[in-house]
Amino acid sequence: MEIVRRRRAIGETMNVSPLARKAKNQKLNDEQNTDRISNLPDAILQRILTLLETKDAVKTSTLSKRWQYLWMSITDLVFVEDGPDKRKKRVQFMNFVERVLVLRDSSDLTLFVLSCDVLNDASRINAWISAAVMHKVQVLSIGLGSDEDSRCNSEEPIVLPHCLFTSESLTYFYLELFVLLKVPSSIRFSSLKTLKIRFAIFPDDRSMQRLFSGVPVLEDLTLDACCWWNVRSVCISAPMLKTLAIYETVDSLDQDDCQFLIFGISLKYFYYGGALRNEYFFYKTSSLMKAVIYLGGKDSIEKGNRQREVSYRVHKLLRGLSLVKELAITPYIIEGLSYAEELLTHLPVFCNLTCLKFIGEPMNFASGALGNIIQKLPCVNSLKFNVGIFLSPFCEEGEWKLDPVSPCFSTHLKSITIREFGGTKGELHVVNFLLESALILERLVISCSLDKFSGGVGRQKEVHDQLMLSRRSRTCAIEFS
Amino acid sequence: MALELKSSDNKIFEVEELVAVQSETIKSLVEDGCADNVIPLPNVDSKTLELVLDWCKNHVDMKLDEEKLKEYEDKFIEVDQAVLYDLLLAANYLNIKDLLNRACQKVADMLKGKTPEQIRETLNIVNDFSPEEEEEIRKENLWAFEE
Repeated sequence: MEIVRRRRAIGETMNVSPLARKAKNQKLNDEQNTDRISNLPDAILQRILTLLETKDAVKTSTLSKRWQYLWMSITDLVFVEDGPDKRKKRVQFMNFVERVLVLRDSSDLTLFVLSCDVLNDASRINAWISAAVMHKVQVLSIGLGSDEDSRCNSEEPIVLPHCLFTSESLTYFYLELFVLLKVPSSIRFSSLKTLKIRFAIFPDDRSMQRLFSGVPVLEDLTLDACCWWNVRSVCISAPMLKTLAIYETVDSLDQDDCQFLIFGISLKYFYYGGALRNEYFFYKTSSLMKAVIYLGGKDSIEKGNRQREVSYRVHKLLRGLSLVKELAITPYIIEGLSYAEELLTHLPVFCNLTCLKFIGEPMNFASGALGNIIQKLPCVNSLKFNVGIFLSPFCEEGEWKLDPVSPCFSTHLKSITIREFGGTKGELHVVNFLLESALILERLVISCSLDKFSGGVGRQKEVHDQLMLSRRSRTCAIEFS
Repeated sequence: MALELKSSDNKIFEVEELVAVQSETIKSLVEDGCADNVIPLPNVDSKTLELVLDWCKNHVDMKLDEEKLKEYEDKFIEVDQAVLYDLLLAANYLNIKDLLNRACQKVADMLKGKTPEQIRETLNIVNDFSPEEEEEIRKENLWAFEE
């Protein structure tokens, strides 16, 4: 049709008459108003529809007959049940998802996201997930909530389909489940690279064994706020696992006491957050690059009188991570170390550690165990205090010092960074001490806290100049901001 | 090494091989040893080919500068619909994945959040459903059409 129009337009330019030229211009305008998009090939239109939210993609079925069935081959399906009146729209939502899945053609799915409450539809939802797996889905994200009420009503808990656990196409699986995760006897995720599980209740040791043995190419594992109450020990030994993140719930006073045996043959990154309600043992961690340990829940630990237990667990954890190159910890770890004083002499040496960061809270330099741990860091060249420092008011300010000073201060320590600096006497005392003890320091970066530092730019310059005088290392640059 | 590409309206473009092989189609021709003479591209006119080659060249030049590249891409894709569709078809034919994705994203952005009526207006689509037919489709997909 277009070619014909173009030919006519060209034919008309042959005539010089203004009428003909006007007619030609009209034809060109029509071209600009033609529906070119509908003439694009199916594959391109489906690509475009895949970039839309599933809702919007399905809506295009009313555009024209050309568009009526295009959406049925889109490779990404996202169904999220939310909004204030989701109960009222429940039936419509269920029917919509059902219809899309039933009418979808047999082409492969790339992505399937389902986030909804289970209520009384466990078997329907099971069927939907099966459908996604049958369509060779690669990225699967399932978030199944339950009503507070229905949990009390002991409804039949959702069981995930068996075919899911032997999917050959799945590369990324995110699962959020508030109930018991039943795991079938045969598990093999032959292509699964990323697995993230949140809130699930794990049933027993054998299930966990089956699960973690069935992920041969897994590279990234996250276990977030799961319940380990029924599991006594679990072994994570996926040979290609590079990143492991474990987050415990901090508030609950329930005891999980599960033992994690982690074989980190390829492990590079380890992230932990919690109150050490479980124990963590590491083996073969020579490839470990970075670990972030966020120990929190001080209140619940003290309420439960768990201090000594936490101290033992911190020691075990640090022993397992002693080959790491970069470590970020919360200051509470230092306190945790000192709950069981007899262990302080048995701290491991972190022979590869070059960078130590303190996160989450300001570091109290009066903590007894700080000196003990810094002694065990022979190669540290960078120290960072991301949320600032302080000297506990109980400590006699003029008298505080790290004694003995760690060997790394003379041989390796090149850079110190302190954020959220408040300029108090205690902080200045600490900074001066560091400057006097770090013999080869090259760089001290201090960034002032907008709330805590008083005196503005004038005072900043004053402090900067005074610190310059304390430097043992004459080539050390001090950046003050 | 330079390659010669011929557009549908017989214009010859000389391009570095490194730039031209951003197109998987041209890449396979080169690998099969069929790129010694001029490569004819009967499905791409010179106007579009010029734009496409500009995209390819900039993707080679700015490969390491993500920010600069994104700025370029955002500016590049600000074209009117007619040019956009030509780019889509060319990127599809020449198999240039990032250009195809960016162009598809541009069209998707034009569709996002719009009602079917608004989409028809923007894209000049003629509604060939009868009102009853359209109503039936709406009813079947009620959840999508709510709010």
